[in-house]
Amino acid sequence: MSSPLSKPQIIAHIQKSLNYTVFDSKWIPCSAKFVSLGNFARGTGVMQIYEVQHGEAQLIKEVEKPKPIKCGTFGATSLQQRHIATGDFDGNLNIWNLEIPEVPVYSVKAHKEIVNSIDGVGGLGIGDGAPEIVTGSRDGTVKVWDPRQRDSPVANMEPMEGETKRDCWTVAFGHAFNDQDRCVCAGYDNGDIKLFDLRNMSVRWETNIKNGVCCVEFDRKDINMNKLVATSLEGKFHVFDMRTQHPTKGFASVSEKAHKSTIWQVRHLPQNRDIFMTAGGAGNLHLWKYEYPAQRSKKDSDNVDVGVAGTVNLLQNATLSTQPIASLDWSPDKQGLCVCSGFDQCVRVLIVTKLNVV
Amino acid sequence: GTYQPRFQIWSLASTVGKVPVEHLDYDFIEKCKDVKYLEKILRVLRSGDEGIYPHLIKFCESHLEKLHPRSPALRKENLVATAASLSNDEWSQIADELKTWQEENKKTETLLKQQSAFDDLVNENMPPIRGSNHSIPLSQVNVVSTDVCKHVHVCIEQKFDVEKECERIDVSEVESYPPAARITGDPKIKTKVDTSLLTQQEKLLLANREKDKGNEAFRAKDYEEAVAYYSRSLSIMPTVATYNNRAQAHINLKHWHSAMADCQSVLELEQGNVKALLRRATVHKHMGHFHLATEDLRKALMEEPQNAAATQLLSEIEKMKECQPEKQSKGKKILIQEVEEKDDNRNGKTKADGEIFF
Repeated sequence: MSSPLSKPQIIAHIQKSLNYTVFDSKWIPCSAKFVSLGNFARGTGVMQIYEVQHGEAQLIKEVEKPKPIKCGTFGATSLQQRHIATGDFDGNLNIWNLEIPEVPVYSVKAHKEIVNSIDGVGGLGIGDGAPEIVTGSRDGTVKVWDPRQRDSPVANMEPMEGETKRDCWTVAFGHAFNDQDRCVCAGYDNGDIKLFDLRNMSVRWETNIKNGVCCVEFDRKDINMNKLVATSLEGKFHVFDMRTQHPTKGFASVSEKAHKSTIWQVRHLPQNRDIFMTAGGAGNLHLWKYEYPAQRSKKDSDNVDVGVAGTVNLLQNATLSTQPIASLDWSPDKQGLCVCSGFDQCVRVLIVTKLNVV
Repeated sequence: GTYQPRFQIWSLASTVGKVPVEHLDYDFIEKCKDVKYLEKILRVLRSGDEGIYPHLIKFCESHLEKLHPRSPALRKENLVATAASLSNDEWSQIADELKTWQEENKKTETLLKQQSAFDDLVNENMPPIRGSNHSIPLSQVNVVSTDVCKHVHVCIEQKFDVEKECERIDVSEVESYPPAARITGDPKIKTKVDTSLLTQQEKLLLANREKDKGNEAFRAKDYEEAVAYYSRSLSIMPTVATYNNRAQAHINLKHWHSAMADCQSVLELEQGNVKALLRRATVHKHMGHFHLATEDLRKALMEEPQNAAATQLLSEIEKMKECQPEKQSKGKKILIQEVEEKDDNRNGKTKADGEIFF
């Protein structure tokens, strides 16, 4: 345990008010620039690029798009190209070259309704497999796309005919530790969490956390899946140890009631998978560290392996605003640097100190 | 006589969920050892429903903190810090670091942009597109996962047997845990990364990330996985730090020969590297080469005369030389190794980041 002096501090470095509702903000890899996505009051979409310079966020590019943009990812692009993939209110998946963002380099009508969530893998040297993008939508489907294939997804996870369609709020890649294994985790409005195995094209595991699942994230995408965090509508989050799957009990987990209201986001520190930040409905951030138990699995009465969950410790918290913080992104390059955006129409650049000593 | 019935009410109250007014009392709180109940009292006091007692709240908090410093009830909401809340020195250090990072980043970015001409080549090298438009129904969990579990289960049992064998020889094994994960050292992690088409910048970034992954696995005590990721990092770009880390992972796995090879690689690159000398001394000691171990430690102490670990190891070896003739019985030797390993672990824990990593 760290002494009070070595406790990480969450420092508000830059705060920028925007003239639109911002839904997502993402660092451009290998740069001090971030992209901010949202919608103008007149109903159109907007994509802005900011550069952090001399303690300020300077707007260097802005483009308006027909539909509000809900979410974005750089996970499936190469380091040289650094194209961003976005999902919009109309169900479109677009990929943009930020040098010439006027026309998308890839565009597909991915869903019938809004794309709530997007994630990418296979780019930026993350994992050895193909570059792929996953989208989750209010239309109840989760689809996987390969930017090299134009019109149809490479995998489609949809309810059977006659089944109730659930609103999919969040998707995340994981388990991409070689060129074949890969999983997608999806969270739904009714508390369902489903883990899809893309190698075997099957549902590998499912559970229900009783409240709408706002965000899921693996601690790292490109390792043998290790941990998964799922956050919920009523302020709780669950950490699952994904290393030991019991045939009936599934994965062991620990949960924590951390925020007074909805936890909108969880993001693991890119440089240390056991540290993560949750962003909540009351405008606050909580920084956590997962501690492994002495033994991560044991034998149950039938001599079958069952996982043992660890504990989570709060390292720091900070209130930024009275409005919810809806998105958060750690810089992949500079440890402790992060950008977040909230319903108060602000993007903030934060610096979290002393992360290397916790 | 009066305490007994009070205790009964207390235990009843703790199950029913109500706090009687007489428990909102300095005397009672001071004697109460039940953390959950104290948290409940605190909640009632803070609610103000039974009156406002700021001193009693403080008293209850400090008593609870003594019993359970990490109690969620003690969490306070903090306002986000700003540059002004730090000392001048602290802030200017952070600001300088950020500035340096931005400047370096600019260079990296320019170099990346110049390389974009290779994009087409990269595309050719990518894994193929997944077979088209697979569909996974959401409802049924595939049974495949259970088979996977069984298969893994078998492997683990064999593994445990090996460890039992060790325990038979050595009684002091109790302190060392079996590896954390089920699927450690997964052969499916490729230990070489194809770097033929990567630029120097990309190699540097990737090598760092694979090393980070190795460090994370190391901290989770997955030493075989750590070795795999350090190997990936080294296949991209060999560095002294990564060889040193892999040497330590090999030592923890008791792979003496591989550990030796990694220490040699460091010392070929950097003659007087203290960590490598210390680790090679440890390996020599375990292999019974006391003279070679002593030689390495003397060299280490020439570089760093104040190095406590080197001094300690040296005095241990001197003792071993005295009490143990050249050919010891195998049992005794392992016993001593174990004692030593505990020290190693302690060192590793207190100085984890400084000593083992980077």
